[in-house]
Amino acid sequence: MAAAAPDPAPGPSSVSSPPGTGWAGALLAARAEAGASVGSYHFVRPDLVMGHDATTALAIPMAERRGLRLLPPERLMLVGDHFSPPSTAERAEIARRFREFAAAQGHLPRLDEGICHQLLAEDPRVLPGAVVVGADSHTVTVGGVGAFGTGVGTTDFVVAATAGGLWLRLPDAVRVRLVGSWPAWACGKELVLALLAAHGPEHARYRGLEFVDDTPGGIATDHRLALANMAVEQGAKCGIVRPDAETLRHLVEDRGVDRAVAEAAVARFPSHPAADPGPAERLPDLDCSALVPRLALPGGLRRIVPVADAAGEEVDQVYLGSCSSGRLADLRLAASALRGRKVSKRLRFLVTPSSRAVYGAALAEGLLGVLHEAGAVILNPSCGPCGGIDKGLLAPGEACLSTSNRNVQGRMGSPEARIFLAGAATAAATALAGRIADPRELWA
Amino acid sequence: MSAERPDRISGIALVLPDDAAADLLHPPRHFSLDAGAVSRGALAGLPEVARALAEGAGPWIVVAGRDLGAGSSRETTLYALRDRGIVAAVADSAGRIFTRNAWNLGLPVVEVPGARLGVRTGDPVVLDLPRGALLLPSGEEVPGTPPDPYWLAVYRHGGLLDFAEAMGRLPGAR
Repeated sequence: MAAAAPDPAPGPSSVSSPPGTGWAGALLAARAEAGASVGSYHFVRPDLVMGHDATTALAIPMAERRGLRLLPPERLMLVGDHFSPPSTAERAEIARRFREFAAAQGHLPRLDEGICHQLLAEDPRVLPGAVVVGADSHTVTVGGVGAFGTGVGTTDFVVAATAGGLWLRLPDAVRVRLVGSWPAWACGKELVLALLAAHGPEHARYRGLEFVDDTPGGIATDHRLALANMAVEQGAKCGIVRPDAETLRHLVEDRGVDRAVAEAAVARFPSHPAADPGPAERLPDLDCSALVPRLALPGGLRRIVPVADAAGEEVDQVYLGSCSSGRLADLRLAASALRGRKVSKRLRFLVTPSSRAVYGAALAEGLLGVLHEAGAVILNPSCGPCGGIDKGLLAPGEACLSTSNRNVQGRMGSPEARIFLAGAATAAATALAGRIADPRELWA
Repeated sequence: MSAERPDRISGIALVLPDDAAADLLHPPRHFSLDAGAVSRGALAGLPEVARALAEGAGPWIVVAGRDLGAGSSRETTLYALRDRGIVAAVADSAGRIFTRNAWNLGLPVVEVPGARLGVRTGDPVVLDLPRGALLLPSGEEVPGTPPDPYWLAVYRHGGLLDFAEAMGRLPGAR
């Protein structure tokens, strides 16, 4: 087999980031190889590449046929989170092949530790300004800490994970300023639903979606991760929140990053005028104080309505989890709504903390106890119900209110089931009522 | 340009609705490492289109509305479509990862807004790749967005892995 992995150090760059390409343009251009562009695509070396069990398993025959070697673990993170643990013998076989392939390439994948996007967000290498390419569409999530993340399929992953780079375009940026005070019941999903309601699911297609948080005190990083997570549901290549004092707090206090390292990463981020190529378009400010709880009606993201408009609709399952939710801030919202109360007997209430770290913190904080007492089924950190992979699949005619990011017909089981997407507070209120309910009265 | 990778691609139109998301083109329950099982999931979320696919012979050119293939990065979606004789796609607009995955496997996706209005499933059509235009049986030509030179290069090499190898990017490739 093969030569050593390529030199991980990014080469000198003479690729410039044209006006309008935003922070993503600056970050990608800085990692683009001079003289290696084809058309408008540049050969970019990401700082970190990520693959999970499902998409990496597809890469095995491609890599083996050509005798390719994977990047070393310093630059490639492999995660077992889809078939975690496997629900069928076939999926156990996929998971086994993934592990064996990884081992043969000198990798020890992170198995059953949580959803890959949350593990990326917790990783010490994923600092503001980092460039991450992952074999999953929701790799955009790391934008919540000011990193560039984008998702690719298996063939791009094979090139990125063996050649150490891949061809990317510098996207035009569309920038949104977040203003106004943050409602106590709100979570990051509410910002996404507000954007989808205003601009639809294609407004950022091929673009970088960039956020400046000018709210008093700043929106918590957990909510920013959820905001970035659904950039892809607006068509975007990435979703990046400008790192700021909250990012610094999060890195130092929540993640234990050395303060000097965190400060340097925030300071290096190309948002200062000399480095910022600026956006191609600015959207109107998003006023958080004007948020109302919203949901996506079943079957795609073109029909976003206030929860009040769908209130009273009976559901058979509530799912709080996925890479779009299930972080500590979401679990706190749910626990504060459910403390001392019981969820409706007529539905299943499934909760998935997004990683082992989140699970442990929620356990220590007593949140899982509160949710357990309220009647929740606590699942292990994994992708689970979101893609209909395991647990919580829906029967024909059933309805689920989910805090995940996709509600296409058939995604969670039967094509005749209906999936509503909403935030954590709406999930908790709906679990209590047994029917879709506006959460605001619980915070009144 | 080789005969297998022509600049003008001829096929039978397979018309898809708006918002044919990746999860509809290939629902997640069809994910597998077994090529036959993957292939059987082609268009399973769009039963009427799947029926037309099963009844015709192809080669097919998908003619879709807005936001074709949005969402999931699962490449099994493209394996299934390719295995069932789909050779190219045009759409009013298409999802970013779907578009990359398709080109990477030698299956061009071109934005040709409004193409669907002039076409029915079963019509013979021709995709003029460098010009990004769809030729209809009536002789009418619907203009679209010419593909970036990068994608044409990837296509002419037969897909991304062959392109990357030709560019000397896959060290140790045998």
